[in-house]
Amino acid sequence: MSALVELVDLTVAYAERGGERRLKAVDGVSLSLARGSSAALVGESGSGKSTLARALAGLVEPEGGAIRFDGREVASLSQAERFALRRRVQLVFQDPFASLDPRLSVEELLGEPLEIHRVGDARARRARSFALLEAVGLSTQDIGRYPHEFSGGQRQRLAIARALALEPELLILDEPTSALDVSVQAQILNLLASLRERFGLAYLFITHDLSLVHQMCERVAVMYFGRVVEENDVAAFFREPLHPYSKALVALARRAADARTLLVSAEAPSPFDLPPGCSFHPRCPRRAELGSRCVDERPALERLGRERAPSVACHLLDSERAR
Amino acid sequence: MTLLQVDNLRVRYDTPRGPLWAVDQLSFKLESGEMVALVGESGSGKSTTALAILGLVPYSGGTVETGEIWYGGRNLLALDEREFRKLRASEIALVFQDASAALNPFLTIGLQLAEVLEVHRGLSRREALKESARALGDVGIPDPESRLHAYPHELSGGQRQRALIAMSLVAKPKVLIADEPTTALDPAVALAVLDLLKREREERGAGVVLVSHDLELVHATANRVHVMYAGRVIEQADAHELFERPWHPYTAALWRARARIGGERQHRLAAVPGAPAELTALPPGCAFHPRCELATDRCRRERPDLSGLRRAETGVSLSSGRRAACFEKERVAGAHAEAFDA
Ligand SMILES: Nc1ncnc2c1ncn2[C@@H]1O[C@H](COP(=O)(O)OP(=O)(O)OP(=O)(O)O)[C@@H](O)[C@H]1O
Ligand code: SF4
Ligand code: SF4
Ligand SMILES: [Mg+2]
Repeated sequence: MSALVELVDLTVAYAERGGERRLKAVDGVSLSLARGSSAALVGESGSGKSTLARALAGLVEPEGGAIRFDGREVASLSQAERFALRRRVQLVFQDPFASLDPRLSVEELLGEPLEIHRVGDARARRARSFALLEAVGLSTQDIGRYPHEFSGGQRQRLAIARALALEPELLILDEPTSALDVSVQAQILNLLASLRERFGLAYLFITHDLSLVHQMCERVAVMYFGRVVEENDVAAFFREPLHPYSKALVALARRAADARTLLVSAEAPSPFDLPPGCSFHPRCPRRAELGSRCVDERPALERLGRERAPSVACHLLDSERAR
Repeated sequence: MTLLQVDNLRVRYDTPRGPLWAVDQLSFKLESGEMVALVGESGSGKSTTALAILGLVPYSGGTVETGEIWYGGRNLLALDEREFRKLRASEIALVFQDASAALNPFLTIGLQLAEVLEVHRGLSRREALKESARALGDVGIPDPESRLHAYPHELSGGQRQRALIAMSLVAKPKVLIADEPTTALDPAVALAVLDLLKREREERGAGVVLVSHDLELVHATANRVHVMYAGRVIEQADAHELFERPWHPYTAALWRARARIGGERQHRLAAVPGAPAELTALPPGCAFHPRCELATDRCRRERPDLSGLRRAETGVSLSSGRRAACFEKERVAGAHAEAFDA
């Protein structure tokens, strides 16, 4: 399977509000997403998940590295080509209340992206809106209603319909159900799963809820302060997470008895003042095994085998392999 | 020892769409050292209950129509605002959800903590600062003496959250109201906060009212659970019994609908159909009936009360106080009994 999207050494930085320091929210990330696959991006708050998603959707300019679609580098594309590319990647946000313009009717909300990209005439757009409503389980009678007339779950269906309007190949789902109730969350996740099968979509699923990753995704990438520290098959990841930080995350999510021993401190460092070497080292229970190496040297993300094998950024696996 | 007893609470909000009862016929007890959980979907009345215990319903534009909340031999709902304010913070405290909103950005953490101690425990400034440092250390903030001089923005998000928890605990309140105390937190910090609440219960017998929509959290940490739907408690039971053998179809459906890490990966979840009930347009009969697979004609006409099981032969242990509001609860409970026998 050829990659739909590849990130190569991607870096995105923000300037500190009112300060001079720069924060590398995404710091040298390389990842690849296959066509029709579903990958999860997990990590603590502030680890750079949403920034990575925004860069991928063309909403922020990367500072360094490259984003490639179908093997072509986005930075090398013309203005028009970039605009066309926008169609292929769509974002669905956490909060359907904030992401839908309250002044627009359902018909306008669904027709707007088509209009911007000059797809079809008014009649074709209306027909497309009906099809979209049906696809997400809303009634075609809802076409004249406004966002505030819908419940939270219905609004998220609407946001999904809007994202699907331009027939994207990749949907980036940024915490799409965290504002919803448990009973409604399950409806939306099931809808997303069947839409993926039906339209052959690829998903990048951003969440802090590992149980959703377990149920929804095939691959998972774990971020820690701007870097990917592990990338793995989901079943393998839950069976045996490889990076010490992943081990802690999984144990915490499972409420395992030993979860407290897998992090030296609950507290994360300041993103402006990251520890040298491996940024996880002050919280890592295993660093003592490697002398000062974890403080001196930053571990690179390395694949532990062939194509679908996991990748890990930790000196431990390095020394284990050397043996 | 019973710390807090809520009797027949009913709270009304007047909205442009008409009056709604956010909480109705709510009764529960909180024992010393215990954690009682209120669970349910958004709008089910959990937070309104918490507000009522803190005497804050009038500030949210609501009216307590009926009910009594007994604490220390007094009915809290009969107190005037001055008396209530004294009780709040010193004996009944809220563990806040949003740390950035609740701390004063212009005062150092130390002064904010010390102020509570000076007012409620009558300590001198010096004693209060010393005690404040201890409180910060207790919640796992490293180097607490120097952190006393920090302003809120100089702490990390997790530290701010914990400083705030330190502040709610510093006066050693007997009753802690924790409204979604961990949803905004990273998992490691969330665990530390839960450990802290547990310590407060075990070491000095504080009681905790946990408000949460996180069933796994409730299952793992609470002693007793009240499941709310559309303003009413529809099931109450010990935490382990509740989820192992629910009596109410809504409880059973909620528990099945959650995503989980253990077991087979299914790619589909057991969704509950429909949307949470509209409080301004409640259906007649059982409020859950439009979403219930077991609904009968009777459910569409008549509203079930909370009660125990009618038959003992279902194999479900009849623990004291276990109740559910459903005409078909014997069938739901029996279904589990059969499933367990098979
Ligand atoms: N100030 C208010 N004015 C009008 N209605 C209100 C007000 N506060 C709450 N309500 C309504 O009361 C009902 C119960 O709200 P409450 O916040 O207690 O529910 P909850 O179970 O805590 O929900 P969530 O999980 O979303 O916090 C809801 O329908 C809500 O819209
Ligand atoms: S490189 Fe060292 S500090 Fe970093 S995760 Fe591996 S063992 Fe821990
Ligand atoms: S009373 Fe009827 S509708 Fe209500 S939960 Fe029970 S079976 Fe379902
Ligand atoms: Mg609430």
